[in-house]
Amino acid sequence: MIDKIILEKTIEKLTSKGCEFAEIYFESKSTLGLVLDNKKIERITRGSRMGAGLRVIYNGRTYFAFTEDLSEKALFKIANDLANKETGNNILKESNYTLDEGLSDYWYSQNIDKGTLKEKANLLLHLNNLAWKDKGSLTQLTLSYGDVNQDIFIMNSNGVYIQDTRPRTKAIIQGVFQKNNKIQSAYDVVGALGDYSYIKTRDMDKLLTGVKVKGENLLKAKEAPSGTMPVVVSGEAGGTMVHEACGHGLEADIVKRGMSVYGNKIGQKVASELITVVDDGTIKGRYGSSFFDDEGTKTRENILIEDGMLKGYMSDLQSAKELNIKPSGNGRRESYQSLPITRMTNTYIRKGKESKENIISSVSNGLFVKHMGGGQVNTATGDFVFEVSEGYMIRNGKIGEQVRGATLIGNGPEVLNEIDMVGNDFGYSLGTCGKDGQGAPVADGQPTLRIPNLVVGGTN
Amino acid sequence: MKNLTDAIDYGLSKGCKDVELYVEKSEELNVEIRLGEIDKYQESKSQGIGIRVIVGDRQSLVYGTSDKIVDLQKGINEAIEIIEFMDEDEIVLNGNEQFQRTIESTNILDTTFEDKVKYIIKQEEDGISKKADKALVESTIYDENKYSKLIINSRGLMKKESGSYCGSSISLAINKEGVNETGYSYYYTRDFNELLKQDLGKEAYAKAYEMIGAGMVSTQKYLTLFTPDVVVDLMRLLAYSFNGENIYKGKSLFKDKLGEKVISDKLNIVDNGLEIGALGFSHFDGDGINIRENRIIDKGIFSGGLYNLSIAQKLGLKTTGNASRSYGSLPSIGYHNLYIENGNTKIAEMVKEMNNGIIIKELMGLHMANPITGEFSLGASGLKVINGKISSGFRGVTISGNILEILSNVLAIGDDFQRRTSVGAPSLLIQDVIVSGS
Repeated sequence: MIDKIILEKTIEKLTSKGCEFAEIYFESKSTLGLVLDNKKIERITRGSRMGAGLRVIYNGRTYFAFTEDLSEKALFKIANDLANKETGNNILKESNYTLDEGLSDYWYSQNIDKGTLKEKANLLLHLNNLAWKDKGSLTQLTLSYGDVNQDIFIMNSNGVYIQDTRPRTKAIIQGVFQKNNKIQSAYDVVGALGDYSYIKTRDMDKLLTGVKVKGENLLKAKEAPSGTMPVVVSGEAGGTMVHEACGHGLEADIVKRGMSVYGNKIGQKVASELITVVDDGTIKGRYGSSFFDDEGTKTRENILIEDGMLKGYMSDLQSAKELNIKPSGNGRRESYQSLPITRMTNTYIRKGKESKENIISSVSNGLFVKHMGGGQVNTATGDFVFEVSEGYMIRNGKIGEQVRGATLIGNGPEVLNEIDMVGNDFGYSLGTCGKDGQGAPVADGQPTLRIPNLVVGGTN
Repeated sequence: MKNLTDAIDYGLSKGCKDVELYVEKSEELNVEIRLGEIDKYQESKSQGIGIRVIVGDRQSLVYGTSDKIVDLQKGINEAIEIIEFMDEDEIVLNGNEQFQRTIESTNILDTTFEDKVKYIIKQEEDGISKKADKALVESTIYDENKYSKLIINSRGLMKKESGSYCGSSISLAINKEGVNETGYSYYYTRDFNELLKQDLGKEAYAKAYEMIGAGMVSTQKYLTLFTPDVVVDLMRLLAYSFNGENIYKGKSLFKDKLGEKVISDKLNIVDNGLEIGALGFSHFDGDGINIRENRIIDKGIFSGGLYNLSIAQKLGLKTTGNASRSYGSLPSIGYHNLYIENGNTKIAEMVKEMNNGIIIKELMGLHMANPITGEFSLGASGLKVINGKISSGFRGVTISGNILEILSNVLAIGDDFQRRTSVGAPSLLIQDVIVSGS
C-alpha cells in the first residue's frame, strides 16, 4: 500500500538532523454508514481517507505534520521541514526493517464476511418494519449501521515497522416514545472489532425489543430522588464508572503533567482491596482491541490496580519515556491527522465473590443502577459524573419502582476506596471516548458493585 | 476547478440528474508550550471532497481525500452504485448563483510566529501566577486555521469562500494541601487583535484559586446565578430543538410551538451568521444558500426554527440558510453564530440582590443531558453567595431540571455578554434550581 523504500527514506530524512525519535504513520480507512430515520433510508455514505502523519522529537519537543499527498516529493519535503525545526546530536542505530504484520487474532471472527450493502440495508428495513408493527408509544426510530476498515503502517527510528488491519462494526438503535404529553428516548448499541459477521450473530430483534421496553418503562418511571444514598451499580450496567472514576487518571500523559489524583502513587493503596482494575487491548472482538497500538507497540493486558494497590499506568511511547516506565501499548490516535496520546482500550474491574442478589438485599434504601450512559471526569480533582440510563429504587433490599433522569457524582479515589461489595457477575459496554479532541473506540466493564454513599442528582 | 466541472459532466453522462461537489481545504497550525518553550508543534494541510449524486428521486454521498479526476470518477460510480438502496425523497438543490468571497482576517496571517508564541508564553506565565499558590499549567495552546470551502453543482451553483481564525486555550491546577483545584479558559476569533486582549492565563488562575477549600452545598432549591460559560452550555443543549430536522421529526421541544411562549419573555435568542468578525460568520451555508439573520426566540416566544433546503421543502417553509455540511456528509442543519441577547443588570447588583444563593461556574457531563426531553442532571461547581457576598466554593454536586423550566424562571439578565466560540450569552439569574449535594 505504501512502499517500504519510501518509508525508509522518509525516516532517514526525519532523522538527518540528530533528533531523538522519528516516525511515519500511514493510514488508509474506508467507511460505510447507513441511517434509517423517519421510516426511510435517509443516508448512505461511503468514504475513504488516506494520509500520513510524520513526527520528530528533539529533547522531548514534538514536531508533527500530516498530509494526504503521499507522493515521494511531498513526504520528503515534510520530512526535511520537520527535521530542520531543530538540530540535535543523537546518533540513531541503523535499523534493518522487517515488516511485523498484525494478526487477526483479536477480531470477533477470522471468517471474513464484509457483508453486502443489500444485506445491511435489509437489516435496517427489517428492524424498521418490526418496530412499527406493534409500535406502542414509539413515535420516532433512528437506526444506524456503520463499518470501518482501517489499515495502518508504522515505521519509526527505534526499528519498529508494523502493519495492522482493524475492521470495526457498530449498529445503533434509538427510539423516541410519547404518551400523554410525556416524551422519552431510549437507546442501545452493539459493536466490535470485527466485520459484518459480528452483526450477523447478534440478536438484533432482541436489541430492538429491549429499546422499546426501555422507552415504554421510562414513560412510566418517576423522577429520581436527589441526595446522598447507597448505590448498587449492576454488572450489566456497563463500565462508564471505572472508565471515569479511575481510567483517565491512570493515563501516563495526564500523570506526567501532574494532572492526575493518581500521580506518584505507584505501590500505594488507592482503592478498596476488593478492587482490581485492568486495561486489556487483546480481548477478542472487544471494541477497544487491536493487535498493535497506533505507535506499533504490541497491545497487552495491563493490571493497573491490584487488590486496591496501584500497580502501573497506561502509556504511550513519549509519556512512558518521561515517566521511565515500559510502554503499555496504549498509544492511540484518531487518525493520521493526530498525534498519539495515552488512551484506554478495554478497561474493567475484575469480578469478586458476592452474588448480585446478596448485594441488592444488603441495601435497605438506595438506588439500583441497571444501565449507565455517558460520563466525564476532571482527572486533577478526581471528580466524575455518570448518567443512569436505567435506574430503580431499592426498598428494603428489593428492587422497587423505576426512576428516570439521574446523574451520579463522586470523587474517583473516594468512591474506589468506599466500594464494599463486589459481585461475581460481569458485563461490558462500548463507546467512543473523547480526549483532547480525539475520539477512540473503547469498551468498559465491571461486576455488580456497592457504593455505601454517593450523591444522586435526580430531578425530584 | 476543471477537474471538478469535468467530474460533474462525467456524472451527468452516467445518467445522474444532478451532481454536487463540496470541497474543503485547510491549513492548520497548532503550538503547545510548556514552561516558555515549544512542547508540541503541528503544521498541516488537508483536503476532502464530498460527491453528492442525484438519480431520479434518490441521492447518495461518497467522500474522499483525493481530488484526482480518476478518483472523482470512481467516486461518482460508487455513489451511483449505492443509490438503489436509498429511499426516494424530495431533493432540492440551489442553482444559478456564483460568487467568490474572502473573509478578511489578515492580521492573523500578518502576525509573526514569534508574536503568537509570545502571547501564549505570557498566558502561561499569568497562569502559573506570581502568587504564593503557584499553579501547575497542564497546557497552553495556540491554534490557527486557514480554510476554504467550495460548492459547485450541475444547476449552475458555484460559491467559494476562504477565511481564517485563531484561538488559544489554557488549563491548569493549583494544589493546596494535597487537593487540586482546576481552571480552564479559551477564546477563538477571526481577529488576532481580539485574542491579544484576552487574559486567558489570569482567568484560568482565578477560576482555580477561588475554588481552593471548596466544599459541598446541601440538597435543596437555590436562587442561582449561571455565568455566561454555563448559559452557553445550556444553549448547546437547547440548539438541538432549534434544528428544523428535529422539529420535522418530532424530536424538538418546539414542535407545534410556533408563536407560543416557550421560555421567559426576558429572553431573545438569535442566530446571525452575518455578524462580521464573529467566529460563525460566513456568506453561504452547506446548500450554497446565502446566510441571513434568524430570530429564533423573541421575548420568550418561539418565532421559528432553523432549516436547510430539503427540510424546509417538506414543511412547506423557506430555508433559513442553516444547512450545515462537511465534505463527509450530506447537508444537515446547524447554527452559525447563536446567542442570547445581552441584558442590563450589573453582576455585582445581582449578587447583592440574590442575598443567599449560588453561582454556577462550570457544568460537567453536558453530553449526558437528553435534548429530546430537555431534562438534564449535570455535575456542577461554583461559589456560594451568603448575605449578598461571594463566599467559598463548592463542587461535587449536581443540578437538575428541565431546560425550558430553567429558562422560564429567569429573574434577571446580566450585562456581561460573552462569546468564546460561535455561541454567546450573558449571565442569567434563575430561581428554584434543584441542587443535590450533602
